[in-house]
Amino acid sequence: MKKLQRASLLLSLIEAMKRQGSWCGETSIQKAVYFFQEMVGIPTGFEFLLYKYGPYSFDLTDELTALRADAILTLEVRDPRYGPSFAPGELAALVKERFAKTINRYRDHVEWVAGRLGNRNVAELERLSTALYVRLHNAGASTENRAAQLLRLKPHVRPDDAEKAIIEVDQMAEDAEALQAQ
Amino acid sequence: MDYLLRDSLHAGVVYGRIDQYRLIDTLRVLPESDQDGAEPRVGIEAGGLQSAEGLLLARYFMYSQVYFHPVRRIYDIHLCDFLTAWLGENQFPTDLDRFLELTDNEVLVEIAKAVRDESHPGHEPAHRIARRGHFRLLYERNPTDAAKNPDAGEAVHNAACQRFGGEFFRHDRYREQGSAADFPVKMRDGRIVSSVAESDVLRNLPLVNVDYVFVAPERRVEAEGWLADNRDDIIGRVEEDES
Repeated sequence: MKKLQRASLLLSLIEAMKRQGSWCGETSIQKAVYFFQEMVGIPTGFEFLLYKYGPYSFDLTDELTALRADAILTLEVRDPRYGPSFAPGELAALVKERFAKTINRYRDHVEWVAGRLGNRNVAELERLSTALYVRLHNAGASTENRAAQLLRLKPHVRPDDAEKAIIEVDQMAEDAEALQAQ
Repeated sequence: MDYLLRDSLHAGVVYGRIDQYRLIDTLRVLPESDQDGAEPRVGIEAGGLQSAEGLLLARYFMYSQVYFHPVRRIYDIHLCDFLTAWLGENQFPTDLDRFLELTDNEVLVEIAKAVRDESHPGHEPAHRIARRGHFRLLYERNPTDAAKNPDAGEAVHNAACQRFGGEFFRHDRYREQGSAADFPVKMRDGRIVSSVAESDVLRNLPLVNVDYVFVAPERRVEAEGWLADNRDDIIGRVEEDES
């Protein structure tokens, strides 16, 4: 995927997440892109590893800053108690106009991710994204085994929340397959 | 802090100077927000916020005026060209002893040898380094062009290579990376707030964004004329949406 083409999808995802009520801080965007890439299968090409709040991509952090340097994204302060949010920058409209075909092609995928993650808080996003990470790295393992693995990776998560996250991610994966088949 | 002060001194510029004493005095380990269970992070007391702004502005000026100065960047490119030609496909040795033997002195001696020897694989870049025959700046990013095409330099480079041949041009693109300058600030009333929320300077801190196209000196005049005649057309070309 070309650089500006990928930028147009990140922009679409951020806007869709905002419409769903997301804070759109870096953590929310990291998790949304992880699902967008690893569950919905959009080849954005970021490398993710397991980090403090679940799967995290240093490449994506670099890209978000680079997009700010290009005025495609900007930072906005919505509440001084919390970190800043990402928002479309001065040149966002130009990129969206030039890559309208790409945006249209992946519109359903973007809305799918935003609809499922946009209204989640950071703790929920951490659980769900880690549950997806465990699913991807333990293909075929039972729900109990994967919940146990999630608890080993994130000991502060409550056991019932871990199991709920595993079940929810399994359901999301089934829905994502239907979306990809469309 | 250390590298900014040292580089500023040795490069003879004033940009890198900061109030490091005040900054160090006000650094604190703080919860990253007022929320319960917030993780600890390096932050600052409100009284040191201007020193932190000074540090980040100094860093920006050092990057834009020194580290990313076009002449310094093109010498990096010529050096990479020389090392690639000299060391071949294997490039730097991975054997530790052999790697440690390859110091600046060995490289400088080899550059001097390559300048004298026209059959040396690194003769051309060595000559450009040692005889100040470096490529010259043909195009650099500016806000007007960026508003039409965020990758204007790439468009210019591609068109120039097509017109004159790739060996006469180099493209250098760098956009700042890493995280935003967001860290916790302990206010005088004890609240913890985001630095970006508290500081107009940090919220609007410019980011380093370099987009240079260099041309070989022997093609400079011709290429400058060509670019002047075709600039708007070239910059208007953005990559295709092939979706």
